[in-house]
Amino acid sequence: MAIEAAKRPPSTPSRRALGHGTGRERPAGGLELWSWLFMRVSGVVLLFLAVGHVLIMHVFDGGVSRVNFGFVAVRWQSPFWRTWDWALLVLALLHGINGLRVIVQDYVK
Amino acid sequence: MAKRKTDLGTLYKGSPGQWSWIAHRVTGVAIILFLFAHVVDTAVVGWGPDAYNRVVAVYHNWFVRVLELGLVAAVLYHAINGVKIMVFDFWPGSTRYMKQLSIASTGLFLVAMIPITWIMGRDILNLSLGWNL
Repeated sequence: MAIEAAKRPPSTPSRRALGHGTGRERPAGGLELWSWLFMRVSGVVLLFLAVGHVLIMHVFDGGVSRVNFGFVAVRWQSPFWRTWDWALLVLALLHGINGLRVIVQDYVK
Repeated sequence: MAKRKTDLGTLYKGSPGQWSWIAHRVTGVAIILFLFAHVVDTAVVGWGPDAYNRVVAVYHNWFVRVLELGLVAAVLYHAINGVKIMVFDFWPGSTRYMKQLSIASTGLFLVAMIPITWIMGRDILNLSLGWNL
C-alpha cells in the first residue's frame, strides 16, 4: 500500500509525505472540513470518555477480573454510567469508522 | 526493487513525525477492530448471567490479558498523540517545536505505561505462572 502512495506524481507531494506532516491537512471546505472538525471535537471528548473507561475497566481496582454480569448490572443502574457508555460507543464508532475512511483516502485515488 | 526503496524514502523518512503518524494509524485501526468485537461481547449481556459470564471468562485468560495491555497502550498512545496533532493544527507556529513536542508526548506515554504495565503485568504473571504478586 505504501508503494501505491509513493507512486503519486512528485509535483504534488503532500506536506505529510515530506516529513513536515502534522496529521491531516485541513480540508478547504464542505463535508470534508466538517469531517476534519468532527475528528478533533470527538477526539477531545473521547480523550476523557475512552481513557477514563480504559483506566476504570482495565487498570484500577482489579481491572477486568472484577467484571461479570453482576458488575455490569449494578453499573448500568446508574444513569451517569449509562450515558457515559452510550456516548463513548456512539463517538468511538463514528470516530473510528471515519478514521478508516481517512486511511483509505490516502491510498485510493 | 532498488528504485522502489528510494521512492519510499519520502514516505518513511524516519523523522519523529513520520513514526508517530504510522503509530497513530496502527493504534487507531487496532482500537476500532477491538471495538467491533467488544460490541458483540457486551451485547451478550442481553442473554443473561450465564451467557455473559461465559463470554467474559475469555478476559481471564493470561494471553488475552497481554492483548488487553496492548489495547490500553494503544488507546493511551492514540489519545496523547491526538492531542499533539491538535496542538499543531490549531497553533501552526508550534510545528517549529515538532521534535520537542514529539519527544514530550512519547515520554508522557512511556511514563504513564510504567505503572500500568506493573499493575496489569502483575495479573498476567499471576495467571500464567501461578505467582502471587
